[in-house]
Amino acid sequence: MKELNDENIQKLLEQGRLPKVDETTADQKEDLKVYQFLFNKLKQGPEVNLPKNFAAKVAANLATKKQSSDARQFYLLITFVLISFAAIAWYVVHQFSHEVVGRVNVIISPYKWILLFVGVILLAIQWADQKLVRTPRGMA
Amino acid sequence: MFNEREVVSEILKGNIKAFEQLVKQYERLVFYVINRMVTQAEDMEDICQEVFIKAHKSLPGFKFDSKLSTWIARITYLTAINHLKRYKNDKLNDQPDHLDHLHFTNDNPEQLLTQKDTSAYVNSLIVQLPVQYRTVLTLYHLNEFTCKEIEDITGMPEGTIKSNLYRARKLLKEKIQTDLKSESI
Repeated sequence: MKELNDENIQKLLEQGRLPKVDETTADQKEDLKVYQFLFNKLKQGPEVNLPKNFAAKVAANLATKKQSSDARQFYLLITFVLISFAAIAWYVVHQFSHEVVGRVNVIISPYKWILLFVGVILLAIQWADQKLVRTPRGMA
Repeated sequence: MFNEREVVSEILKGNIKAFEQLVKQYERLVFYVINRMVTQAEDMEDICQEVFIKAHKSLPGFKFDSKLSTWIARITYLTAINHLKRYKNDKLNDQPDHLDHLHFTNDNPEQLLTQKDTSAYVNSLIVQLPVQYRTVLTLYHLNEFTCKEIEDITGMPEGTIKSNLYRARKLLKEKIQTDLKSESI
């Protein structure tokens, strides 16, 4: 019979085989007993567990994220359409009425940096909202 | 009966109920790994949630080259490792070669014995092991992965996994032997 050292005992227990107890020494018996105890305990999960509604919470969280992502895409699309429309309108006006262009320039010119600043701030807020704001603990 | 191909296909079509089914199927697997690797109880639910959100995001790239459970276990393992690196509060860098004489800090094992809470006692020893040992013990014994699957999950060579399993169990056995008389077990 093979010597019953730690390695062999572990291998036997992994295979679900038990050595004949009468062929082992007292020390080996004790090792075997402790290893059997240990292998049984290692199969047992922790006493604490996730809440019973965990799956529902994760699914709800995902649905919320998807909704806000869809909404964000929708607003981006609307913004793009509006900017495109404004650009086309401006181009058309520019082609046909230099007088109107001149008047608009006079109105906008003093505020151009403020308008640019507001635009940049809005974009920065949008970026920070997506990147920096963390989902609150245990949401949904 | 959980049919992983069917469930994955439904999730990819946008079915949230199918995703909930997937979470139910694997929440125990994910929790066992997170529970053993990350020791701060207050973070566990959030990290488990993060794992499933990542899995959902990466699901279009899953081509059934491995079992779905192995794939989710890998996401779980990497998420836990990232968490440990971020907070640098665990024995992440302990070298298993230097751990043969690991010192366990269980002040009063007799008290645990008298409470007959032997599972809690063994768990209290496991959480003191280095993360590599805790990981292989959990994946092998609790989640019943093979050493080959653990290699796919952790990226550790199979020989290292077997050696870590052997050393972890030997350390625990020696500690239990010291603490408790085998007759009491």
